[in-house]
Amino acid sequence: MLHTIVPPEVVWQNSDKIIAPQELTYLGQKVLAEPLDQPGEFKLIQLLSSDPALFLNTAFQPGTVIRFPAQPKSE
Amino acid sequence: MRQDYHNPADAPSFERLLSEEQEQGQDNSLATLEEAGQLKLPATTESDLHCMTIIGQIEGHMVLPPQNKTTKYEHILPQLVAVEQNPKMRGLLLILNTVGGDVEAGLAIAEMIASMSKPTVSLVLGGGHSIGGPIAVATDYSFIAETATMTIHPIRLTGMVIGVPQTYEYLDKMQERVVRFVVNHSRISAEHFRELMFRTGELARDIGTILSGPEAVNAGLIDEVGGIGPALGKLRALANQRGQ
Repeated sequence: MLHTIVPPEVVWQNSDKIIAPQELTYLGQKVLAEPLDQPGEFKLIQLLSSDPALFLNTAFQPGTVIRFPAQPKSE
Repeated sequence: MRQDYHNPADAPSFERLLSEEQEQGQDNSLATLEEAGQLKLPATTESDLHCMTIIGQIEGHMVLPPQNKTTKYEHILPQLVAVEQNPKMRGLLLILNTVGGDVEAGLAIAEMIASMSKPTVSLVLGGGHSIGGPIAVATDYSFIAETATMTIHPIRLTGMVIGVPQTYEYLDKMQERVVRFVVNHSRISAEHFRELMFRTGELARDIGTILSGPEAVNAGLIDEVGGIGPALGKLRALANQRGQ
């Protein structure tokens, strides 16, 4: 149940664009991530861990873009 | 990091620079992953205060469509656990600019903050609307910027509604959870809070009230009008008081 000043029709527009996240292993941890347009790129949705300290690590912040495989350094 | 390129041809495209800037946070960790195949240790935080921002919509049981900027409670709750149990953390600064969101996720965050043993201070900037109210008052001490506002309004019914008295009772119970929490964690009385919530003629498409910074303080909802300086000062003072 939402309690917000934003009208429901604004909150729920583009509901069809919600993509189901996939489970991946990122930096040794299970995460849920949503595929982006670029192949091998994902947006981190949720860290699946019971270690609270990991949630302070900015690498696991929701919204972080993950690249697989990690791009080779250009030099 | 931006670098100087002697040969313009060597310079990466703007898009790449932009994406590098955005990715800076994880560059090191990716490097560690390539070289050692293992996770780097969580960065040692230099600050002994944890700053948490509650922005946009508070996302709860339902995933919201992508145009919403959201705060995800499933990430916030373990962070609060980490702050509570980390001996190096002396306090929590909560910065709010939220339009509200899921009632239960909002109350969950508020209850977690209210039950922390470490000192907590909140600062409402821009807006702390709807379910943002209970989160703002959950801390030991609360600040609101002069120009910030808080909208107090009833929980709206959306979706399928069955026109039976039980529907009203259910809604009333959800609302009471919010009212009770706010009343228990601020100086406002239940009568005054309900009066603000059900006032007519102030909001264009809803009933309720918009309180500006000083009005929120006068109503007893928030403790003080102020910004980041006073908020950090108060948090330091509370932390020193508790001798942590």
